[in-house]
Amino acid sequence: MRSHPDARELLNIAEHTLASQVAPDLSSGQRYNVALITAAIGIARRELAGGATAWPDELAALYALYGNDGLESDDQALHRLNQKFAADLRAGNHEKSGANRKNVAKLLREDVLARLAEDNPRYEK
Amino acid sequence: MHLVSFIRDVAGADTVTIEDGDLLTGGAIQENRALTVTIQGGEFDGSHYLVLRTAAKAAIAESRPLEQQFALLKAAEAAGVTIPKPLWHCSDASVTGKPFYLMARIPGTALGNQITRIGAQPALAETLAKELTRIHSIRPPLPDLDFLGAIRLTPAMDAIATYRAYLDEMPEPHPVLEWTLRWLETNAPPIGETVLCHRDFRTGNYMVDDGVLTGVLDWEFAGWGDPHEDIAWFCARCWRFAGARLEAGGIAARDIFYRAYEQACGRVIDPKLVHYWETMAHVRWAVIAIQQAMRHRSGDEPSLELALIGRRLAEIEYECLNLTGALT
Repeated sequence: MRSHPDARELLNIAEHTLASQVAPDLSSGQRYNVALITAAIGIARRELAGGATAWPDELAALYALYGNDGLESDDQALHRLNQKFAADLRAGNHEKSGANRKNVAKLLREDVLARLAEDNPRYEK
Repeated sequence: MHLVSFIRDVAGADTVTIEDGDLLTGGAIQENRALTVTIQGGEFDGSHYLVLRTAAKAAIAESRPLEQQFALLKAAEAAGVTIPKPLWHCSDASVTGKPFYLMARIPGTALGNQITRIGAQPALAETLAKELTRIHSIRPPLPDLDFLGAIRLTPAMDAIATYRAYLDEMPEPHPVLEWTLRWLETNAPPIGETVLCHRDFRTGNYMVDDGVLTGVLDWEFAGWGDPHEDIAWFCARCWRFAGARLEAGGIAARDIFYRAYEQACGRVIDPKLVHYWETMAHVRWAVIAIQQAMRHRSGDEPSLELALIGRRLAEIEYECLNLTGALT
């Protein structure tokens, strides 16, 4: 077992210290850099709090669309199935049945919303 | 030959002195250096505040070479567009180490956040709409702009093919962008009127001094296309900075911009075509963002700023889904 605070808590306090204590004393050019650094820490912190994908059900949704042969690691499956998904979208292969379209739109939507929550939670939708 | 002798020759001057200024900000792709040049003799006699522009080390694929940018600035100047006056282009790399051109330095700021934090600026939006009609008054064929190349199929289908080819070079698949490109393919309009499109006409790429436009910048993406493409790029959500609710560039309501544009040139804006090109705008910005992040990821140009552009993809893709009706 690791000592505490854990990685997420450390990033949290590092981000807070940079923004509230370091930035106010800096020149405007360096304040910009600090803003970039705190943004990067924030994204990393939120990403580390999640699992392998931003939307936890991404792989399950891809399996629902394409089946699961059980031979690959999750990482391999994610990459291969997303490649297939992208190629099928380009070719229009998911446009024939209404149910398929609905599942496809849901997968895209949930993935984007989950990534947006990690990358820019304050984005004005 | 040095820069001093180059300017002396092209300006027909007796003597030239140069005071080297700062590297100006705002050039992720180009490098801009401020110079104060004092010229004695000839038609340029006097002090000049200039910008020396060179290509940065890692240019992105779509960016036009300097001599073409210079020719575009000259064409824009002839059409009456407010721009930093282009002075001289030099393709001889021995003068400053790289090819460059010199243009007048204009006052003000181009920073999108600073401009949009002021709030609604309808007069500025109207001025910009009129400027855009001047750019769109430039039409093919034009011998000086021969390098722009003809439209192959239609502006929309050409763009789709370009962005798909870029995506094919990327290490990861991008399902949301493929979805959006397919929507763009299915809904592609036929070829319409062909004009010079600036292709980066947006808040962040024009200079404003005390609320007044001083120049339209960054001509390196210009090409022949549909006028709605520029209107859509200007209005796209991704270029509104702090003014998300002000749909025309974060500085005005959309109808103010549209009306000023229509009144200035008589062309009627088709909102459906703007919606189409706004969808294309987000795909284009997404592809550029992926390319910018690759400049960092490849190790060519380690930069936190470039790295973070890669994490803007989610918000751009959110807008893609919104515009293609996939959010509901």
